[in-house]
Amino acid sequence: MYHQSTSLVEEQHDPFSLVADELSLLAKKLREMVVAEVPKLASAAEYFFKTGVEGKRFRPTVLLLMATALNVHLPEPIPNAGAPMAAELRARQQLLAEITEMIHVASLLHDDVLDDADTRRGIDSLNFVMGNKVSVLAGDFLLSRACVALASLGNPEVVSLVAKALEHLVTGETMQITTTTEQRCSMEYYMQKTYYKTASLISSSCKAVALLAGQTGEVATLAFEYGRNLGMAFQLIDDVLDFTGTSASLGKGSLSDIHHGIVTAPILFAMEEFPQLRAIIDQGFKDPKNVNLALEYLGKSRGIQRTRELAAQHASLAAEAIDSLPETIDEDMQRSKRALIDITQRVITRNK
Amino acid sequence: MASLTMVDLVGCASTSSNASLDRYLWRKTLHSSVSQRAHGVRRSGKLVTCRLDSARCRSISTKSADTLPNGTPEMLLNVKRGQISLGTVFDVVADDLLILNQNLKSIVGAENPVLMSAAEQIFGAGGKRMRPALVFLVSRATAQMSGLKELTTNHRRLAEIIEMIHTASLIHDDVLDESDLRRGKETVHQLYGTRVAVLAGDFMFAQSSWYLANLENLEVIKLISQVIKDFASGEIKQASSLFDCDVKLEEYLIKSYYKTASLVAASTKGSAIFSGVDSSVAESMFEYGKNLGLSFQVVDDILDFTQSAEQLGKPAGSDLAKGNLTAPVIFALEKEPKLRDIIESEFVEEGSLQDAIDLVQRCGGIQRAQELAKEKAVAAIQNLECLPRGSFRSALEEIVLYNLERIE
Repeated sequence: MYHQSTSLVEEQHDPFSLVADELSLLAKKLREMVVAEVPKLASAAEYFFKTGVEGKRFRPTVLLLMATALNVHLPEPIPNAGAPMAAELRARQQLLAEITEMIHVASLLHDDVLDDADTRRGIDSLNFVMGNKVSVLAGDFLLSRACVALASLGNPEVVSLVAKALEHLVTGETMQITTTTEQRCSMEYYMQKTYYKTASLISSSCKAVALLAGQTGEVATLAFEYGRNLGMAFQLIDDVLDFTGTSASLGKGSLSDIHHGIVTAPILFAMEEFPQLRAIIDQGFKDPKNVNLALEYLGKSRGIQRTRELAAQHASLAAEAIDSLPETIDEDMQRSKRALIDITQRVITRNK
Repeated sequence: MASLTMVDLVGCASTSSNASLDRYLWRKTLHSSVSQRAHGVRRSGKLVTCRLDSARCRSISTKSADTLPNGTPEMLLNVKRGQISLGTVFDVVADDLLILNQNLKSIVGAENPVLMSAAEQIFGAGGKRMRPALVFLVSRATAQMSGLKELTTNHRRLAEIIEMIHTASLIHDDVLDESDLRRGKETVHQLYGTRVAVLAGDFMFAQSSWYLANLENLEVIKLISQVIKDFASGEIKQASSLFDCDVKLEEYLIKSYYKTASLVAASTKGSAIFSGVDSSVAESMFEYGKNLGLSFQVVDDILDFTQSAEQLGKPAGSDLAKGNLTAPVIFALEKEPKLRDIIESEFVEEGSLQDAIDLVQRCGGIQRAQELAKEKAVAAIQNLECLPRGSFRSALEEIVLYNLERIE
């Protein structure tokens, strides 16, 4: 489908590798910032910015790739002025990636306090290891740094965008905590909450990257749409994996959503086929019998498949957004665009 | 008769260099304290409308002024005052505060009922709205200088943002301090749990960030963002130096700046910026806010020792109990080595906390802290000298003095 230059060796490029150097610089910078300013939070810094634990730095990767894909080339007459300006732009976009990561990590820290979570990504959560207070403080610290960095970008529209995303994060979390029984069974409510909790931050940041590059209107919107659809696809698959884990069958996943009483897309779809599920959901999932019953219905239904289908739709929309970006002959830009599309596939085919 | 004279006084572009000094001396001689002014209910409203009109200026007996060597701010502090009531001081911006309350309710109320009731807990818990009042007072005082007729939307938004940030910090503070009581009422996290408290704080914070972003004034955005960073820094500084008897006064002042004064300073400077005055005036307003904030924090720290639980709305000596060493303690530690041992024991022994409190009081820790509070207060009043004389500047001075009266 994509014609790579024939002079290149055919290789499956790991999209993450395209920006690997920038990413490790980013992680290093964030880690050092935390350690330098707040020695007490050094272990927290280790915790979240340590290589291996960081979940592949999904967001910064997407943002840096987007930055390359949207590169604006300056007209020839000013060859020397080009380089430093380009470098400065890149630095600002990198800063935006840092900001996004700080906000994301802060929200995770607070989420874990809110969920009383014991583990995060397979290891002890910070609040479990160091107490709620440090987690709240660490989250506040990161958020405040993000705020200052955001202001330093000097772009009111970008500030607005990211501030809104921050608000959405909180709103999404609130929606999760305080749902009525009616809302819990509504696909619309679920999708809205998912947008707030997962897709909003990445979509706003993608758009911000475009705005920083001086792109407006259509291109900025396309960047936003890419982020939004990618985020939704990501979360939908997360919901599936919570049931299926690394195996294709049910029940091998961590099942943490259902045990927390959180009703996700697979169950909502299953409920359309089996209205009896509704009564079980209303009863709640404290009783393991209800959990098993729900899993049974889920297995009999097309809930998992339909969720995957929906995720694939969103992934496809994300890819379309990239396709709709202005044509270019620049190889770096082409590579980055391909990488962004590649990511949409990886998001829906991953096993963890 | 008394209030008429007061009106003239306030409106007077006095021949002496210290109209405020005159006013306080008059109060003393006429025995008309500010609380009497409050008694006159809407009479105090007249003070608002009184304009700077030198034609109406009467050369009031400057005898007392003559006998004083320098009409300095220091003298202000030595004059006995009547009970200053904040409610009266804020009279000049009462309408502004009303509008603020309404706006805040609708901003918060627009969202989730659970969050709303949590925020009600804080908003309804007897807060003085000191910070927004400062915004309005400085806004109005500086607006006079730049010829602005009315407060702008930005001014009002700034006040709302400040109050939201302040509230967010209180809610998280209580989680971090594991406090059960604030202002005599149960804290958010005591009532609703840590989850909601963290979320409510985050929500307030996010809301204020959003409104801040929409102000579209980069200077103010940076100013306030810095405050948010300072809050976290202050909290961290405090958390990492609990029970540390080597803490110096300088560090205490930095921590106090981060935790308290930074927000006040940003509010007063932001107000000046939106009024469009000279940057030198804006800087003076920053300094005023900073000195007021520091003075305020020192007084708070003193009261934690000297007031009873009832008056505080929370247990007395709670700072010390948690290992948070404040000005009185730092001063006392210089005099009394025994205190160090008790503190480092972290009060495991029954009665040791009370022993420590007694020691602090006995070796003049409180007194020296009072001196410190006054020092900052004097500086704050000096910072106001660039403002035009009038009811707003007077109110700003009175806030400084009100603060000091809390420890008399």
